[in-house]
Amino acid sequence: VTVEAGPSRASDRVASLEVPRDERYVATLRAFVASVGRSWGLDVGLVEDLRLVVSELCSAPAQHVSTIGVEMRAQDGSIRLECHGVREPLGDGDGDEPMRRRLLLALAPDVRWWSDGTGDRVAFGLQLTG
Amino acid sequence: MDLSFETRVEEPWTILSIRGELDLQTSTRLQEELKSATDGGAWLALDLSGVSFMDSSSLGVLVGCLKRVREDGGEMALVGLRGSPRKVIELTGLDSVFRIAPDVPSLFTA
Repeated sequence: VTVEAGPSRASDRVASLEVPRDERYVATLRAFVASVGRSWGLDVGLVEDLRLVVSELCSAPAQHVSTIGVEMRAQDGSIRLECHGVREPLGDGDGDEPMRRRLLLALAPDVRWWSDGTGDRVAFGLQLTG
Repeated sequence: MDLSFETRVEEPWTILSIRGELDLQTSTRLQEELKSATDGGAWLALDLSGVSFMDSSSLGVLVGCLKRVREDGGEMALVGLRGSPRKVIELTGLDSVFRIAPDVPSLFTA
């Protein structure tokens, strides 16, 4: 498990956590983003949304990765969250996938996915409040 | 957080109360508990007031249970939705599929 914390300036903060690719650690990632979000003054509703989106994204890791992780960055009145080592979140699928896709689009409509050669990444932004 | 289940009967409902977090890791356990609670057909009320987190990993399990229960002539209700369970159910439109009640006593007055 890797935890990094960036500068403490309120206008430019970053925190990240990397964990093994194992569904047991998704709860750890949820707890991490909730804790960071609260310490950055996000309101309760936004923290809940962050937990939910991270859980949805990190419950579907990419096939080839050994770790998954999140990075939170607060800058200029917004918060950007990036997950790596996860699958494309809005692809076609069966089972729970359609409901997962609907949920993600509702919570994080600007979610986007790309592959940078070191692992698949998903990012989205939220407006800071509080 | 540990996941716990408690079952009691208030005719005609079998009330299954859940405490903890529901996600991918716990979905198999949820499925087993639902199957056990509905064996032989049942009116199942799932009390989620003690669930502090739920994502979409549990939705397929819930919908599968609903289908099974209705095929057997029963009904399934979700009770005490709040926080992420409420958000997940509402945003996916499942609040129009399940019977929803704010608390257990409301099941008997609706």
